[in-house]
Order: sequence, then structure tokens, then C-alpha cells
Amino acid sequence: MENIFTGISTIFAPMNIFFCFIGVFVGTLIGVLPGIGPAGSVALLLPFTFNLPAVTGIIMLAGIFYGSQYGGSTTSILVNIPGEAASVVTCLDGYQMARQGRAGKALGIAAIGSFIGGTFGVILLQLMAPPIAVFALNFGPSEFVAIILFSLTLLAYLAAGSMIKAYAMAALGMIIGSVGIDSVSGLTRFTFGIPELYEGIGLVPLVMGIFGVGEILNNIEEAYKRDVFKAQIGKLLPNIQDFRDSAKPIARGSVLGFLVGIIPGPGNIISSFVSYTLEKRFSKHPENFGKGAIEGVAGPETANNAATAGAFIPLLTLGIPTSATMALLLGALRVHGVIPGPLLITEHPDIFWGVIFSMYLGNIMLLVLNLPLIGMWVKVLKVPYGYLFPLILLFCLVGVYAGNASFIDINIMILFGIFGYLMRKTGFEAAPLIFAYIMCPILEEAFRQSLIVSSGDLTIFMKRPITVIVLSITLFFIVSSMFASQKRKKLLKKIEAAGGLE
Amino acid sequence: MKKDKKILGVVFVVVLWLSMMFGGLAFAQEKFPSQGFTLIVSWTAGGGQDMVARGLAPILEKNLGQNVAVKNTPGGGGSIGFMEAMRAKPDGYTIVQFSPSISILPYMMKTDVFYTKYDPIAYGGYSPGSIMVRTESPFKTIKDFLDYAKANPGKVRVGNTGFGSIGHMLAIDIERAAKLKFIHVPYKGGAPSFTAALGGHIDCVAAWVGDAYPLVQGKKLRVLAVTAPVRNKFVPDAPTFKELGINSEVITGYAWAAPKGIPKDRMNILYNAFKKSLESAGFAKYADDQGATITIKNPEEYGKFLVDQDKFWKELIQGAGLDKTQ
Repeated sequence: MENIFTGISTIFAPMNIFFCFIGVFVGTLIGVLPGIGPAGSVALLLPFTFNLPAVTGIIMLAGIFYGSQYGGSTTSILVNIPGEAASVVTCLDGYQMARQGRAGKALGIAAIGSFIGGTFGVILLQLMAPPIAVFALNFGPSEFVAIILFSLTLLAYLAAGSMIKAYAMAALGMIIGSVGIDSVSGLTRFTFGIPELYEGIGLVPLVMGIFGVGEILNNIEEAYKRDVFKAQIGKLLPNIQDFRDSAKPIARGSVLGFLVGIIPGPGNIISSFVSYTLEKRFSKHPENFGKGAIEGVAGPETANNAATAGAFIPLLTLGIPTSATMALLLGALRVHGVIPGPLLITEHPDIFWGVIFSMYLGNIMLLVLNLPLIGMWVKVLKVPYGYLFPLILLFCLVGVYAGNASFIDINIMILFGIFGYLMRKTGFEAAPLIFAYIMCPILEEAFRQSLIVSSGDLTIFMKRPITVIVLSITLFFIVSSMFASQKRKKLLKKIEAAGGLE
Repeated sequence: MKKDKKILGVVFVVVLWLSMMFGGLAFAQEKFPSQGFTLIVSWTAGGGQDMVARGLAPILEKNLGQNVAVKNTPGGGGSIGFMEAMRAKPDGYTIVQFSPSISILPYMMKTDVFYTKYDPIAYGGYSPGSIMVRTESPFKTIKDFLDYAKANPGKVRVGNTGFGSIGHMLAIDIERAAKLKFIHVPYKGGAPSFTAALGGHIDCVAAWVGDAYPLVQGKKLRVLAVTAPVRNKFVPDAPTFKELGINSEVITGYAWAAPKGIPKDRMNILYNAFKKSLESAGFAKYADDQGATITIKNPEEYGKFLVDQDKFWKELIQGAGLDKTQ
């Protein structure tokens, strides 16, 4: 009770409200701009917070982080270019919805899902951050292997078209993910002696290339076809049926996103992919996915926002940053002599509870900020593409360069842009590629770490309870889908025997 | 009418181009410094090196009287940023932050980067490395740890902050100095290695005291010993390896250099500005929060230090059979 009072009294100081707003506003902006991520903006604003009280500074920087997750879906839906890496999957159905004149609904459900996911995450953060942090420590390398193997079985659900093409893309994603210095032995792979490739191919140039540049190239060619969906923009907000369809995906996305967010790594990205695949698997109409299913927007957008709340747990309770943005937040606190970690709650309750309560307020601000913006965003679709695409291309170029100040990244983006264009022409899909690209390096690292700590003993995967449980579920998924496909084959044979479908 | 506009456009571009050209010339003749500085940090924003740069930049700005922009160019273990600085114009406006990586990288990967291709400006200070265990660990003191490691060669799992990272090097140097054999478990950076140590997935972690301070202060991690000439004020109870008769002092330094060929007068201006900034009360407090100790070396001293460092790292890396350049 006292905690809640501390939190509320901290956040309702006018200055904190003001900087919370600045944070979420900047966050929304950089979320909308493709390529520019929260880490760069937080780094830029960091020196500014040195002159603010610690709690005010951290409230603002945190706002940028979770605010960017709101804005990220906007360009995914409108122009098929993810504003943030975590919004890649939102392209799959969000953009299709926009093409069908349902852009407003997609944006609306993304904002509402983000709000619910973000708020749910904060509630869990408030109620049980310390025990969750301790539980998360049980996840060692072998548990990671099991979890990633499980999520890879979901890969098939990322494809809307040909399965074989999807697997081919996943294999390619795996290879792209292995570029760079091998993290265990230090040998270089596929770097061709280019030092810029030692750290691997960056996610941002890859995504901006395949989705952004590829989409632009494709659209220039098909410019005249766009007139169709320019004409009808449709109702602005989701209706009752849309909410009904989205309720379960949002609920599942909240829980899933939060859980994935606690684990070190790009939790918001992974959670959005896993949420999408789960929704497709549990859906009664999986055939609608990839063709404008609102569940495919609601789930992932909820999940990535819940994950951002989860990402605060290791930082606030242990002082461990799980991403570059979190590391900057940690730095901002330490400049003020505040050490986030096990003692934060007792030594600086105003900061711990202030940040948490600012996130409630920030999420409300974001919802209020984003819903009216939908009307404006939808109008973007009315801009003739001839004017729109040079602007988008410019934002992609600036965004990619801003990340690492590297021209190689721009070249990578353009190269994958051409590749993305060819993929569209030949019916290959990008989502399995990106998913494998993200997951496989983590899988490899975790697998090799497992074997290093066990001195090469493979039974490490059979000794630890969480590993065993997750691996069993994975096995069950694989076996059950094998039976399912066999059933289908039998059915097809029966139909053939009966003279085929009329 | 249309033609007029075209001509106007051409004139505009030409004027712009000329003004840029002569603008550049004008700068070259003016006194130093007359334009903003770029401080290249070869690692991602938010890391230990980056935090030092970001804390120093505003103070440096005051002492140089010009803007100092921190530019993160992560990649290749730091080699991307080092290379960019190496190729920059030696006019004094491009400064690069050095860590021991400048001496380690040439022996860990194929790269053109080498310390002789830069003019050292100043060495600012260091953060000690350490061996840390979780609170529940049976290793209560460094003696417990060393005794166990000696009795069980190739059994102790030492987590580090990445292959070829200074944390990795620190563990290898302890192996060399104390004649031990560890299992090295690489993680991607400090955060995952601390998490692994807390969860008991590894026996200990080799990393910087400063990075893990939240966990040390919160009594989740215990520092067994530090690799520094003197004890660290964050963890006054932890002995140095030197006290134990183990000659291992791998520390992570903070230093600055510029592309080779900086005029002597400019170098003096730069060094004096760095010295003044590093000695300022504002930076002292900042460095304290990051767990860093300030000890300043001038360009000559730092230059000599780099020569010694090169020899040290070459021997250590080749001795451990990790040289990837052969």
C-alpha cells in the first residue's frame, strides 16, 4: 500500500508527468521512423538526463523504450515496412488489412493490444518482479536450447504459401545468421575478410532491405494497382466483432510476451514471432492468416509490448541489462549514484515504484496519443506513391545509417532490397527467413555453451526439469503434426478414389 | 522563365560547392580548435567504455571550447571504430577511445589495426577485473577457489564476456600466472554471463567489478579477488591477485588517441584538455560511479605503455594458442 502511494506521489509530480510525456512522444516518433531504434535515441538524450533528478530522467528514457514499441506497427501496417524490428510480423497481416481498406482497424487494434499488453506487463512487474527474476535464473543454456527448438517447430506457421519455399528461406536465414565471428572459437564465417561483417549482418539493414527497399521496388512496378486500396480507407476503429476476434490473441500475447521478455536477448522481437505462430496454430481459420487476419496483428503487437515490461525486471531487480537500451538506462541511473539491483526497492523506493507507475501513466498517454493519430496515418495512404516512396526510401537510408554509422549497412540493405524484390516475384516469404536468422545463432550459442559446461556430455539435455518438459512438448508437437499430415494424405487419397473434388 | 530558374539552380549549387571548398580551407588556417570534435567509441552505446566517453564528452567540450560528438561504431570487437579513426584526417578533430583491445585485436583477428598507426593523446584510468561467484557458491575465498582449481584441472567453468573479450583474456592470464586450467564459457557480453553465474550454470565469471557492482552490492555475487595493482574501493575486502603472489594484472583501460600525424601544438592542446577534464571534480564523481580509477599518462608515457602492452598481449595470446592471424 505504501509502495503504491510512493509510486503515485512520484509520478504525479508535474515535472515527472511532463518528462514521461516527452519520453513516450519521442518513443512513438522513433517507432514510426523505420530503422531508427530506441537505443540510439536514448543514447542521444542520455547526457540531458544528467541534469535531471534520477527518477525523472529514467522515467523519460523508459518512455522512449516502450513508446517505440507502439509506433513500430504504424509503418508495418501502412506501407509494409516495419518501424521497429519487433513489428516485422505485423507486416504479414497488418499490411493486408490496409490493402483491404481496414488500415484503421489494424492500427486501432495494434494500439489497444499494445496498451493491454504493456499494462498487463507492468501489473506483473509491480506484483512479482523479484520472484520472477529469481525464477528466470533457472534458464541456463540447455533450457534455451529446448525453448528455441520448440519455437522452431512453429516455423511452419509463419508461411502463408508454399511450405518448401518457407523452409528454403529458413535455411537461408540460418546461413545469414551465421555470418561473422563465431562466438565460441573466434573463427570468422562468411566474412570474406570484410571487418564490417565480423559482427554479423545486422537485423536492421536486413529487415529494412527485404521489407523496406524490396517493397518499394515492387510497388514502383505495381504503382497503378495501388489505386484500388487508395480509394477505400474504411472505418477508423475496430468494431465489436474485431474485438471478439482479438480478445484471445491479446490475452495470450500478454502472458507470452511478458515471459519471453524476462529472458535475456531480443525478447520483444522473439515474442512477436512466437505469438503470431501460436495464434495461427490455435486459430480455427489458419487459412486467413497472411490475408488480413486481425488476430495476426493483435497477438504480436500485444506480445512485444508485454515483453518490454518484462525486460525491466532483470534491470530493476538485479541490475542486469538485457539489451543496449537497458544498459543505457542502467548507465543513466548510475550517473546519479543509484545502483539498480537487489537493493533498489529498499534503498530507492521512489525510483523503483516511480518508474513502474510512470509506465501505467505512459501507456495511457500512448493510447490517447496513438488513437487520434490513426486518422492522420490513414491519410498517408492517400498520398500518391510517387511522392511517398522517395520519402520512405530516405527514412530507410537515414535509419539504417544512424544505427552503426556504417556505409556497409546501407549496402547490405540495398542488396537485400533487391533480394526482397526477387523474393516477392518468385513467391518466397520473408518471415521464415527473419525468424531463422534471429533464432539460429541463439540456438547454436546455447547448444555449444551447454556442451562446454557439461564437458561434451549430451545427457545435460535430459537432466534438467525445465529442459525435459519443454523438449517433450516439442516432440509432441512434431509427432502430432506428422499424424495430422498423414490423416490429410489419407483424406486426399479417399477423395481421389471417389473421383476427385468436383 | 523556366530557363532562368534552371540557371539560378546551377548558380546556387556552384556557390554552395565553392563555399564548402573554401570553407574547408578557411578552417585549416584558423587556430585550433575551430570546429567540433568527433569522439569515436568502438563499442555499442551503454557499455562501460561508452559510459566513460559520454561522461567525459560534456566536460571535454567546456575545456576545448568546441562541441564533442560521441559516435558509436560498434563491430569487429572494436576494430571498425579503430579503423575509421586510423583512416581519418590527422587534423586533431577525430579522436578515438582506446581500450586494451587495441593491443589484443591484432593478434586475435586479421586486421590492419595496430597501435603504431595512431598518435596517443592520453591514458585516463582503468577498471579492475575480477573473479566473481554467486553467494551460494562453495568458494568462500579466493583460496578455496584456487585450491579447488588446482586439484581439478579442466573442471572449473569460468564464464566470460565473449571470445577474445578482455574478460576472456583476464581468465587466460590467471591460468598462465597461477598455472591452472579452466573451461572457458563465452557469453555475449556482461549481462548473460552474470545471469549464468547467478543461476549456477557456471562456477564463476571473469569480468569487471564495475559492470557487476549492482549484484555485488546486493550480495548476489561475491568478488573473490581483483586484478589490479591495488584493492578497489567498491570491494575493499577482495584481495588483489598480486597479494596472493599471482602475477596477473589484466585491467581494462580508458585511453584516447588520434590518427597518426597530429601537429605537435594541436597534440598539446588536446592533451591539456583531456588532463584538465580527467582531473575535474565532475568526472571524478562520474568515474567513481562506474568503478573506474583515474591515473593519467601523458602522450609519451602512454606511448611507452602501448609498446609494453603489445609485447604482453602478443606473448599471452600466442602462449595460449589463440592467435588467429597465423
